[in-house]
Amino acid sequence: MNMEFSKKEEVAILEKNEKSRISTMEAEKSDQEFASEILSRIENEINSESSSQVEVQKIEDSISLTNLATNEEIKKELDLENKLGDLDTEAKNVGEEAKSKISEITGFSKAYHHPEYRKNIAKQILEARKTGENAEKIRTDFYEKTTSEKESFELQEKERSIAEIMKEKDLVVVHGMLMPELNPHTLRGSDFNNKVLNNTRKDIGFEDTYNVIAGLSPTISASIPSPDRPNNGLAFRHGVILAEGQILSAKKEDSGSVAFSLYKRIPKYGNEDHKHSAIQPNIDIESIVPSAGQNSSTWNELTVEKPKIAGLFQDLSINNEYYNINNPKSKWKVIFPDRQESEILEEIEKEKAERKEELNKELFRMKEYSEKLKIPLYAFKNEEGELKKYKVEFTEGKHKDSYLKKIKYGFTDDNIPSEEKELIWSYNLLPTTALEIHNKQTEVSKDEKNQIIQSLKDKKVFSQN
Amino acid sequence: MSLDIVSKIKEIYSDFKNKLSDIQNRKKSLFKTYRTKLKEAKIKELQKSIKS
Repeated sequence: MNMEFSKKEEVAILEKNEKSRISTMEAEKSDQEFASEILSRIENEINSESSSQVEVQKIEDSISLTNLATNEEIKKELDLENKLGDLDTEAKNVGEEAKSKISEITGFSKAYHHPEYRKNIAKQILEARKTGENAEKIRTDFYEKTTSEKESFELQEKERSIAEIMKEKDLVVVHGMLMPELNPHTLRGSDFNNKVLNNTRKDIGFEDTYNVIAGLSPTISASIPSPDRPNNGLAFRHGVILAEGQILSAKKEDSGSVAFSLYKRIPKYGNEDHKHSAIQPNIDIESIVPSAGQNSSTWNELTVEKPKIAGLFQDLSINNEYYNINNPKSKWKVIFPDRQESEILEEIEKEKAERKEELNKELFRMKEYSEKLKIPLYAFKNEEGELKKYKVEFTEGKHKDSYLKKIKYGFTDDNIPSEEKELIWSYNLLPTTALEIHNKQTEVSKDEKNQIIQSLKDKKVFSQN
Repeated sequence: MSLDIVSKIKEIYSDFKNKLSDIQNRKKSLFKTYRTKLKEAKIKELQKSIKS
């Protein structure tokens, strides 16, 4: 009740000197309604601000000169039209600025609320109004629960900034991406978890996913790789490294985030205390990087809004412990119980070579994407318990000419074995840091974004729902 | 927290009104100068017509 009284008073004070109609605003109005009323008053005041031309005409009608040219001379002398035009524009801008500030305050939480939560609250308020219960209390509770989000968000600006994390902690935040042309059996997220992408389209590939992020900067899931997690905490061995973005939530484990729209993604698990919102109240990045223990999921999960891409990545790690026959956790002796150790070692070497071949194939594919998309390519390698970051640089190998000949005779990149490609292209891994990766990001221009968006529309990558 | 929103909106609206009022004053001043100049020109016109 005090709150409503106070609101009424606020309005009264506001309008005291102006003797305006605003003082009649009813105390029962919600914050949203209060804001809408003020917005419409700003709009009216700007519109009713009579046009300068009308005023000039009135003056000229009241003092009519015989020689009309004199009017023009005086106007010119005073630079009247330009000055009045500038003031009219300024008045419009002042109005727009105020409206945008109010929308920012009142619209902040709305953008992050769980759709079900909003729906339920609206339903409860309607029910309460019908039954005579205290609808105002439901509304007040709703705001009490959500309006601190903006504050929490702003207080943790640095902790939530990907650029800052890269600079200060030498950590990279990545978004793993499918490469269906090389790994056709790897599954995309379910329709339930992503209501935005047209998951039934099997031809949505690496480049399309890249385009969605580069062109639209949607709120995405991401993770921070770590050497102590299985597969270095990566859902896919390749994808993009982010350069910018704000972290909405950061969980030590897979949070099963659901994309309700391009810009609304909310964790499904691990947010019992704030299920209603996409914003996790307090995040602690360093605590989520290491593995949560043996039974934990393989990767941590962050949700990131307004992401920008720094480059592509490929994980080139080979887990030597996995290929160690003497490792107590090794599967080899279990799989081949009757074989001699030398035979098992042969099997291990064979599988290791296959793995290397697979990684090379992926790396050369990433080289093509990196060239086509004009962004740097980086590699990760788990070395001595540390996840090292490298910039990948390709140089022409000795057999470049024979490779070109093969292309001439119809060979494509895919049907040239990677060991042969290695002779054609060799690559160097240059150690790098998260800061260097951040600093080498390239901006996507507005025109490029528009082209990307058009190509996504043409390909129907978005769900029709 | 609801109070917080109301007070912020109030602050924004007051700021808007102040800025708008300043613009209106600058416009009024321009109109006043224009009116004065027109009056001076009118007087000159009248003086000229009396003389002739």
